[in-house]
Amino acid sequence: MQENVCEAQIIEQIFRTVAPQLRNYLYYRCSSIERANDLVQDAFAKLWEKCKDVTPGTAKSFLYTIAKNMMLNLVKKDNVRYNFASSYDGETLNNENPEFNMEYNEYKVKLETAIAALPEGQREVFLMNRIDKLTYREIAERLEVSQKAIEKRMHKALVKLKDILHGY
Amino acid sequence: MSKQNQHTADDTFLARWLAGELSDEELMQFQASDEYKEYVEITKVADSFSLPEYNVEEELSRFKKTIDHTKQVNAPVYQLNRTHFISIAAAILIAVFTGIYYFYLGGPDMITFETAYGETQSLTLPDGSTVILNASSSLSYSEEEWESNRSLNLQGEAYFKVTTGNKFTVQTDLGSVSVLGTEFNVKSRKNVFNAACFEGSISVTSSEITKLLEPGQNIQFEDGEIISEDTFQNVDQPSWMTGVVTLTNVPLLFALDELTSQFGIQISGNIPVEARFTGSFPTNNASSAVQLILEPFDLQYQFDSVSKLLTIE
Repeated sequence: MQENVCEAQIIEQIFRTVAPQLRNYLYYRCSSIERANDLVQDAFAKLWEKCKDVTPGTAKSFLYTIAKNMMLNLVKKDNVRYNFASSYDGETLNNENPEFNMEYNEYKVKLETAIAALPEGQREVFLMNRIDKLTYREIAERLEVSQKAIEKRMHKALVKLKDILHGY
Repeated sequence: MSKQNQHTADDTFLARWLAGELSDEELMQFQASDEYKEYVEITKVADSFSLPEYNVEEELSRFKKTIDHTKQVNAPVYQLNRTHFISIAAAILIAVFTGIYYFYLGGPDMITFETAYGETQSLTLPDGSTVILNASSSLSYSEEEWESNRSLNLQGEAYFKVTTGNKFTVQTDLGSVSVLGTEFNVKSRKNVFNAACFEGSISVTSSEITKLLEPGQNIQFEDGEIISEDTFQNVDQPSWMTGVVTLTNVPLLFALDELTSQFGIQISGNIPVEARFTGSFPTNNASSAVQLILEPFDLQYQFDSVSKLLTIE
């Protein structure tokens, strides 16, 4: 059994499985794809540095913890702003009636703004669940909090989004 | 916000709704509420969102450059094994490009081979004996003492074809197997020690018990006690060598541990201690292996083949 992750092949395997969702998580935190990509690199560099103390089984939560800490150290000067790609982009939408088009796009921008206004904890849970399709339990494991706490954040996020959107 | 329905009073209500966990009655009440449509709209639009695809290969090669760079800066620092092996630069290159690990222990004398999960490796020993190392296993021996003492340390599982000569011993944490020249399989993982003889005869020792095995005999110890002595016929090599792991009357926990050895699957949840497993699974398909192991048990589980996370309810 491997006891740590100091082997290139093991860390590569972890990279392939953990990095994509870790990048998304970091994006939800900082709202910049480039920065999120860089932070993934930094997190894995840290893992490599500390590889002796980390087992393959704990690598994922180690990476999320590192990522969380890195976000704390970043100066929160600018407000987050999101612009998501959408599965309605392109053809499917053009074939629909233009009114729906407009409505959808308008609503999308509103929702993005509302998401940006959510407290971080609620935002990341909401997006990890809706975009990465992670279950509450999977999110709980990554963020190392209870599943109940995740469910509460999810509930609050939805109530808050509804209230914000209602204000428009 | 004066009249509060259940869905605002219960602070996980909407989370349960999204997970499809509401009772019919709860759902009907909720659907009749004013906010229902708004919540549906929010989730429908949010579900259409996606992020630019993450280019794993590109990012990984970028990361590998960082590894290579740190290696050059402080080359001998990385200790590649928990028993404080010191790696040499060549070993790192081999590890990166072929996934085969080759270390020196304590001096230039101890030679170790290690396989990662899902990987097997054939090796030839100095006397011409051959070894096939199963996944997540390691084998080491002293090059200097090999001439006088054919002794190896094994963690995990391996199949041996031993050339005739002086005594050949495989030591594991749980027991040892000694022979003069023969073919046999040794497995020592967690608390299970298993030896099978394919040719010649072997002497198997685990915590004070010694047994002599003839071809076609198999013995299994658990926590130092014999739990089964079987015979097998028309089998000339262990099944794992042809891509099938076969387990006989092992704790479920042990069977699940084989998933970690073979596929790198991480397992969480409550595993019934008393459950035991007998059966086989392929080493080339993680999902069906998970299914084959867990199907006989009345357990709820979730397996994500991408993150390789197996959660047992």
